[in-house]
Amino acid sequence: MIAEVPLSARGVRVRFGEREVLAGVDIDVRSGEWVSLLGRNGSGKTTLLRVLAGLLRPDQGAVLLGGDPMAGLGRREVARRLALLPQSAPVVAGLTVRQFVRQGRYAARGPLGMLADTDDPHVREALRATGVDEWADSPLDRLSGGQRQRVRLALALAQDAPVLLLDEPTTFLDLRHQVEVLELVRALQHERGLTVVSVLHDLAQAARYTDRVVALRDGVVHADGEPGDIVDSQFLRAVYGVSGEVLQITTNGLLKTIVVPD
Amino acid sequence: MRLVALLGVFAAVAALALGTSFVLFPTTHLEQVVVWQLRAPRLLLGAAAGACLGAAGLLLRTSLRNPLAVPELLGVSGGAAAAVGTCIAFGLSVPGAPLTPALVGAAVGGALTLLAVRGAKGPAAVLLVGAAVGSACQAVLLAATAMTDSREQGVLVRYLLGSLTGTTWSALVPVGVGLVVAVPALVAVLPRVRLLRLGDEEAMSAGLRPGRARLAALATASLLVAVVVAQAGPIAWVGFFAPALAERLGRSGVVAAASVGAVVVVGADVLARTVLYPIELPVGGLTAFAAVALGLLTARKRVRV
Repeated sequence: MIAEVPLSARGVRVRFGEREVLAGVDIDVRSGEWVSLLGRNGSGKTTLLRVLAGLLRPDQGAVLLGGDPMAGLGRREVARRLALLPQSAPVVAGLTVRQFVRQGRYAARGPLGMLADTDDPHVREALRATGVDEWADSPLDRLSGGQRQRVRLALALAQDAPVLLLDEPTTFLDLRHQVEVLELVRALQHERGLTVVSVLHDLAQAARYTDRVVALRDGVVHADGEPGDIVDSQFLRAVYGVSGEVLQITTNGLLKTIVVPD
Repeated sequence: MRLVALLGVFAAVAALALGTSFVLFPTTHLEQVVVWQLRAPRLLLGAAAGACLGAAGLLLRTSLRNPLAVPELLGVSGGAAAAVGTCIAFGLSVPGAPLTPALVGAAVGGALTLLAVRGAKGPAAVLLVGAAVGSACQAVLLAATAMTDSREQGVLVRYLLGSLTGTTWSALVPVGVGLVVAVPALVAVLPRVRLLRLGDEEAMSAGLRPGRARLAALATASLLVAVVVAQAGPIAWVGFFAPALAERLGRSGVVAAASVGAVVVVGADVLARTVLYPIELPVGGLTAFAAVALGLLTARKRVRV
């Protein structure tokens, strides 16, 4: 099932008490593209991602997943169409990497199917694609932060869903592991034709890796477009409230963005 | 696990052979009655009780991601015991007793504790609230005991600590009925509980509704505990230390927790019958003692680390 627009939001409003965090957001994520959600803290980007993932029900509006209203889909059906890598998770003791990644097959196999401890090609493939197969039988709690993030990505991939949502996937990682994770996601996007939506804090990384940026301000979409077209000093001021220069250079067809605050 | 299996066989043989008369191969009629009508059902009830408590403890602590969320600390065991004890003390005839009052008590006790814990974070909160609910249940039971005549007090003592005294084959019937429902429920809830280990958002992303799964786990654990408590009382702390001991042996699965629970209860019951012979101790007293020992051991290790 690959719809032209696998994921979209229509007039989404979310209110936390008095504060309206999302005040009518429309977004269409096209098949095979990587969209990054940008904005300052409190702009509503993480809330939007949680709404798109179905973790949070909007007070108004709807999320369409593969053309169907998400509210009408069962949780397992949602999981077959969409996988999420949440920002932080408890460290799970007593599980090996393979046992952990295997849990991603719950939606496809059902609770009784999970009882049979059979070899699953999707688990093997997810371990291979993220390069964690050499630690497959190691306990998860022995891995480093960077390794663990790859394993968590493998868990999401094992769901074999066409849409992948990432909530700040590079937080808590050093620069090398940040680049590693972003490169990995891009490779998966191209190899598997995945549609990716991520919340990213680093403007330069968002511009470098993602096809499209959607900037939120005060709960609405402030700017939406290709990073080369819209990320400039005006964008910096409007979205982050920072005055400074944005330099963009293209080498070997790759767009590189340098942000220099005044 | 091989060690657990070996100890299990040893404990089972001991449970059948030891007692007033040592019988390894029953030949006379009396010996056959002693082994098959008295010791065998008691052995089976002990094994089933230990396995149920171990499995319930594992379900609760895994689904709530808290090593202290065990039936004894969540008011599940205490609630079941208080409900059964009250029914007996006041001579209330409840259909399906003692299983139904045990089940209601377990569910109410667990729900009360979880509601009170709600909002408070961390294992310590469960410990405090659970201790309060546990004491309240114990108080209800003691009050009920005080209000009854001495003949029934003997019966009620069973619900304070847990005992396998006087088990007959007919006592195993309600246990069997309970297990017919509890075991399939356990099988159905296990994959969901395993998924809950990863964290609520991960579990939800993988296709689970964490709230419902947790409720199902609590209901299943209440049923498992009720099956035990209805017949044998809350055999103290087995739900706490069977999963903990299995984990120390490197096994975090339900089979390991249930096996350890079964072996511990059968072994403790053999000791309960023989140590102060001819006086029988309540098996729950011995398991409580074992739990204290394990708790001290764990605490010492934590301090060292």
